[in-house]
Amino acid sequence: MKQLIIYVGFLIIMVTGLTGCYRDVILPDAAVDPDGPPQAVSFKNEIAPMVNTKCALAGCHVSGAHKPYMKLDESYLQIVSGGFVNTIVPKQSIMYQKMNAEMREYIPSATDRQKIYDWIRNGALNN
Amino acid sequence: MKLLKNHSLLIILLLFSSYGYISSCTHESLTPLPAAASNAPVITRGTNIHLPGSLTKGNVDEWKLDKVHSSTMWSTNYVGASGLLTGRFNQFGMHEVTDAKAINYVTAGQPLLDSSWAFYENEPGKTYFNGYVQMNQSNTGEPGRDAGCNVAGLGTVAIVAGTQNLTETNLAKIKTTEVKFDPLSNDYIVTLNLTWKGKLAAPITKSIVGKLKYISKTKVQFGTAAAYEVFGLQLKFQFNCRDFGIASTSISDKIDIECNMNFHNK
Repeated sequence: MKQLIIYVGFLIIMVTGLTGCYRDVILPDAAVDPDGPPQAVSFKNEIAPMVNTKCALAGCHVSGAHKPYMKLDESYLQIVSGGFVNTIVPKQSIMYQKMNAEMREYIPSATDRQKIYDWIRNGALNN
Repeated sequence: MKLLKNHSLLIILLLFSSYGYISSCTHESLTPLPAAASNAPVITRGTNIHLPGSLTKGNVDEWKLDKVHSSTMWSTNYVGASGLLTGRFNQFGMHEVTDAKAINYVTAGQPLLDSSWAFYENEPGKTYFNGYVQMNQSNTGEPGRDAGCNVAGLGTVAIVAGTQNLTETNLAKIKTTEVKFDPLSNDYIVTLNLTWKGKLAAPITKSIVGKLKYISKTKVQFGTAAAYEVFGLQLKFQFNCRDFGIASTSISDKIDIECNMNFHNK
């Protein structure tokens, strides 16, 4: 009985030792500079599906409601041709300013907003 | 003997567990964190000041627009979503065209002095400029378009040879209202008023934000008697042509403008 207690006790110590001393390294947010070099972003694969899901809601950015209309097949023309981006001074874009103000609740993810900002900084391409 | 066996087992297990503990400890949490990225780009600005003065020939302190080496270009996406459709304006200048000056000028050269500007590299609050283009001088390299549909499409009239048409129908002009440092680059953020009639009943003015780049002063033909200095200003901005009554399905509403102005002090 005593031996069993010793075996079990040391088994627990070993398991604890083998698994207990590892910690993930989480990089601080401060290491990401939103105004650093823009990342490549695809309008068709990333921006269009995002705004279709988050903005083309009934009564919001859909035909007959508020411009720009954000349905998949019309969002590029509506956003770019409609004058909602300023690729020369991206932070002056209406889209950028709105999504960081009253529309922020619909695009709550900083990563998503950064994608849109990077897409504008890359020239708002139909890519 | 039994006690010895227990002690040996105890020591072996203790060694194993110690080894396990030590070897499993990766110390990754002790990895030095990367240096935080900086939001502050390296920006260096000089103290150059460029003024047109009276545009006196030979006065090295007075800077003249080198029009033949300058350009005012436009571009827009064909049908709004395709490749770029581009062109330039053959006739432009840097003079504040007031209502009184918005007339036809019978001349082949510049109708007005290119003197309505000032540039202070390190004091953007003092920098200002005015500019204008003649809309019927849009040149895409396709005569059928330039002298054809563009004239009606832009709400203007055909070119009259030997005349510089600065009437309100044919005139688009800009005037800065604020110039300030761009915190992200060596450039300047410019707020300007764009005034154009387009296809409206009367000209309207829209406030637009663009970017100005200064290409610093450089001496050319150095070491010769003909040496002189040059500098450049590049202005880029975008506007929505629908604001001016141009509603075309052939082009994007968003029009890009790029003004490349070179100056010399000869």
